[in-house]
Amino acid sequence: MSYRDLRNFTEMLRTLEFPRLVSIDNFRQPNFPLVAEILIWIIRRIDATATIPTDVEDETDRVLFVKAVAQFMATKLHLRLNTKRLYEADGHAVKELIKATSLLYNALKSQNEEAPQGGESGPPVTLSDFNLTSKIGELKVRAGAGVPAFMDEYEKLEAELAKTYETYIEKFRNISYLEQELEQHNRTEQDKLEETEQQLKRMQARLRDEEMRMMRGSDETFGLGGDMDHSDEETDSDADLETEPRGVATYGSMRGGMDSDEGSDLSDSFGDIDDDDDDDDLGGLGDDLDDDQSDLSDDAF
Amino acid sequence: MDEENTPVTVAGMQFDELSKIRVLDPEKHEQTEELGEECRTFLEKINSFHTVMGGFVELVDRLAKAVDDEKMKAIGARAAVDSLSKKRQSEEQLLQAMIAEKRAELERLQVEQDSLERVIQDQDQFITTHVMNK
Amino acid sequence: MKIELKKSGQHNRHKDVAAAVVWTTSGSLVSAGDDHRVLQWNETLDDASELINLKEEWYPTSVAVGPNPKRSQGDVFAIAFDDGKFRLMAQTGRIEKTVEAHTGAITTLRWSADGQSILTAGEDGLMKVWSRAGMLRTVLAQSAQPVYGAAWSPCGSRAIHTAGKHVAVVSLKATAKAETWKAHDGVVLCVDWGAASNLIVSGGEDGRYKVWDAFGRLLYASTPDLYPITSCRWSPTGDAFAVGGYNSVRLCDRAGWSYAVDKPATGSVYEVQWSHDGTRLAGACASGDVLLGQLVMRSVSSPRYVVTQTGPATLIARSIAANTDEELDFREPIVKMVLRFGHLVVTTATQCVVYAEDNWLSPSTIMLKAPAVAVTLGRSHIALADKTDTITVYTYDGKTASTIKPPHAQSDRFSATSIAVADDTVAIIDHRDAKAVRVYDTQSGKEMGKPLVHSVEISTILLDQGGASLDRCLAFVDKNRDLCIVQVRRSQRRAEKIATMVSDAMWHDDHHMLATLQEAKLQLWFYPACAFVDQDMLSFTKQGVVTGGDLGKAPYLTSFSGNTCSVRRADGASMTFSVPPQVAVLQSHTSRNAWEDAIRLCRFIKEDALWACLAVIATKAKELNAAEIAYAAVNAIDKVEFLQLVKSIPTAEGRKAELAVFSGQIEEAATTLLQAGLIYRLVDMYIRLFDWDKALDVAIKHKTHVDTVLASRQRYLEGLGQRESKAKFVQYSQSVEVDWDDIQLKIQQALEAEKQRPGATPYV
Repeated sequence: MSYRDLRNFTEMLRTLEFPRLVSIDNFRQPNFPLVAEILIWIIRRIDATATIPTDVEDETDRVLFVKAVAQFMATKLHLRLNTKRLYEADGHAVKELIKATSLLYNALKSQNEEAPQGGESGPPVTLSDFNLTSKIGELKVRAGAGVPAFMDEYEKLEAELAKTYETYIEKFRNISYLEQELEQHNRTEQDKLEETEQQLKRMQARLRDEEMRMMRGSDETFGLGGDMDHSDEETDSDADLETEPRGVATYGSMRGGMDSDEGSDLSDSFGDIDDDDDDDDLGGLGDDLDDDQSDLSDDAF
Repeated sequence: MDEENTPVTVAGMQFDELSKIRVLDPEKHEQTEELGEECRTFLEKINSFHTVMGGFVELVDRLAKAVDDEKMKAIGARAAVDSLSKKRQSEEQLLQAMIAEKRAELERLQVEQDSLERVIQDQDQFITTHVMNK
Repeated sequence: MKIELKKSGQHNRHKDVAAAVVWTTSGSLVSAGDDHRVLQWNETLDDASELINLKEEWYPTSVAVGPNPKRSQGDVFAIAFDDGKFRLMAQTGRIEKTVEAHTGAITTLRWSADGQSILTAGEDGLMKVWSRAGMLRTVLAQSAQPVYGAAWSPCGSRAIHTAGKHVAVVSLKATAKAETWKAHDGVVLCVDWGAASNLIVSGGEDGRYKVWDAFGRLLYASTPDLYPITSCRWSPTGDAFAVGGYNSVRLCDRAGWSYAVDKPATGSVYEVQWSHDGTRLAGACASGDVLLGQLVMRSVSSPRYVVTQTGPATLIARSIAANTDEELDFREPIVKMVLRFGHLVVTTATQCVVYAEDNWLSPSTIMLKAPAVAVTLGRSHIALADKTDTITVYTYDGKTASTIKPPHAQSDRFSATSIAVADDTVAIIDHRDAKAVRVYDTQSGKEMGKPLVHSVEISTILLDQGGASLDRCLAFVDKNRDLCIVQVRRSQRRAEKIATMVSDAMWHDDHHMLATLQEAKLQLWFYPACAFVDQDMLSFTKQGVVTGGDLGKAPYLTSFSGNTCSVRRADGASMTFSVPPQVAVLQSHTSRNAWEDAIRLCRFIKEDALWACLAVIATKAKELNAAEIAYAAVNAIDKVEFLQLVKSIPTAEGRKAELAVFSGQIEEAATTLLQAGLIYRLVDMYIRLFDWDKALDVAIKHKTHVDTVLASRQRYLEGLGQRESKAKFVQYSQSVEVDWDDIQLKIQQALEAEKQRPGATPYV
């Protein structure tokens, strides 16, 4: 605690217009509320939007407050304040407070000294890609020229915006129309597919009936035929023994293929449909179907 | 493929396409060369990175200083702006003080004049009572 | 009066706070600041040279200049620091001594006027006195609060210091108790005690400055400023003081009211210091600036002229009646100017220039050996005290009348109120014992008799200007504000207290008339010497002046001449009041012994005060008829009867003695009678005064009228119903026969003998 610190500190507060008069003897005894008031005032002067707890009633609040203040000073002003001393709120705190006030005081002093020189010392460092100053300058020039300059630009931009909006609306309409068309197309496609499937099922059912009938109606012919080509028949019958359920399984697999693998292919080909010509795909589908049928027929015969 | 069984090969030596004797097999040698080359480039890159970074750091430092200076200026300017109203106020006070001084001066002169007028009155009265009556 | 302030430039000023300024013995300005530099400034304040470079960790707080024991080596600086040490340093920067004086900072350091001691005060609440070599003499005060300001009393026997909201006056004598009073509503930051004015000024955080007399009576309190008052200092001339605050320097009259305020943008003014001649003012500011002000627009006035200082060496004399200006130029800056008795006296560093009011073109010039510190004017003489502790008396045409070198004189304690001069007499308050007044002869410069010693300290002395040399009357006001008058040229100096609560007094420029200010009321005394002749007439011969309103707390008289008397009110307003012209006329009649004219004047004016004046003057002049008429006019029948009795005394000596007894001058009466051999009258006088011992002694010594004394004593005791207690009377009544008839016979014989003396005749 020093006379000179107190003298200079109170003087700085006067110059910086701290709203109250601070006596040179105010810090002879700990005076936390005053220290807090001054700190809050300093912070507000540096950053009016800073959020600092202002409640300093009890100890924990005070500790929090001092911490927050020290953090603020460290981050914003690169000032390291001794929190313990600040908390003491006496002459030692003044030593800490004086660090912050002298910053403000010197800033104000140099400001006052520069002011008469007309601020001749311009921005010392200009980053070409950080050309904010010129932009601000431009704005300032425009601001200086008056409102119309801004209005021109504004109107131009507004007209542009209206045009763009129109285009946007048109495109949006088109796209929604096309989407609708597509949807309809897809629906008909689906219907067609379902129809084909029904046909296929029916055909399959018919084929199975015919097969059943053939099997029931000509057992002998089968035996004969078996006898005729034995060696291969054996394997074939063995194969057939297994093939029958296999065959069923094949049906199933075929159906399953239709359902799963082929289905996925279908969906893929549906995707293709979107792009390519419908007829070809349908033909393709027909081809696939034909292939299966041919497979089936191969197996069957 | 014939060299593979030469004594050189047995000793771990090899010949490359240019028939130069090699300790490592050409493939490995090539890889080593490549690695060396890569390392060199890497080093170069690192060096240039360092220079760039140094420049960058310096730039950032300068920028930080500039920002700091500007911040102090801004704080100063803000303080000056804040003080402007107070300055006006104090100027007003000064003028008020001067007015008060002048007013006090006027009052003083008024008092002086009044007293002198009373002296005139007194003297006139003295003349009337003591001189005119005779 | 105002100050033309100049600010040091941005380039020269201190880089940090300027904490102190001081004027060196040679008159140059030196400042010390937190930038660890001691700077010496040139006359115009636009250049500074570094006198001393202090160490990095030394922060000066106060600087004082003291005499160097070896005069050739320049000044010694005593620099106080914020670490509690003070150092005695030569101008070269050499450290003579480092003294660990206080814990915490030293706030103030003051050298005593005689250069022998140093006063320090500190944050630790202590005030200490050191020898000029830095040896601790005493710890003067111990306060619970930090002491921010301290000052020596004018005589150096006491010191004042601040303590919180209080100030305290402590004596260097250990036995005396400190006088403490609450001075401000905030912490008191500065205090000063004027050497010439003997007044105290204080300033505090409440933004006020206040003027106190030496006994702590408040004379003036300013309106509060927004900011604390950080410095205050009396001008060495004692007629003004300066006050420093935040962005402010104010010049005030000694009564407290403000002449002018300046608002330099320099932050708080931590110290203000007057140059030795009181014409310039320096300031040390928080901004690091140093201020230098030149005192201008000082003004003095007489009933006919107003003389105003327009520049450092220029005056303008304006005639009030003609409204014409006369410009007066001087070779050097003007230090002092006094206008009174029809003369303007101006001093510069080397000259004293005297103008007669009607002749501005040909002044008489006196070359001075040393700068003048005080100038007092009389009707025909100038008394000029200078730096060499000498008073030289000049006539208005520039001739030296005499040179006086009073013992124990200290040049800085001379002031216009401590010196008085008249045609024949010079009076000076003693500098070692303020209770004593030394009286000198104007022409010879010789001291007349022993110093006049009063019971308490005397603050102001004045000599009347008119009248006879033998009646030369010294009026003085003491520290209790009692006004006494004494006829200094008489062998028996009898001081008569005539008024109390007197704040100021002034004699008339030409006549034996006194004006006093008592409890803010103006009182005129038409013939104060009544006190030596007839005390009863004092109340008849004084008159309160209707001032039409209060004169405030500390008014003072500025002029009393012709038919007017002027008073400067506490708020600075000058008020003029008319003085009845008849008293002056009466006095000029009586001084010419024109008693008939005097009586006619009184009959014409028909005023008791005038009659009373005449009665006393005539009695004093032994003009018994005039006195009788005058006393009759004021219905003082007893006085008339007494005068008739005196008139019947056949011898002039007898009458003289009787009148002397009347005015209380017993010894003078006794001497007169003894010299004339009128023993019976002497014995009778003592008997009437009931001074039995003396009566008996005289009777025994002259071997006559012993029985008269014894008989009178017997009758007296019988009347009181008491028994004789005095051994001498018991002894003589046994040896001497007392016969009343015989006594009566002897008295008749004595009176007859007196009548028969040559030239004896009753008064006509």
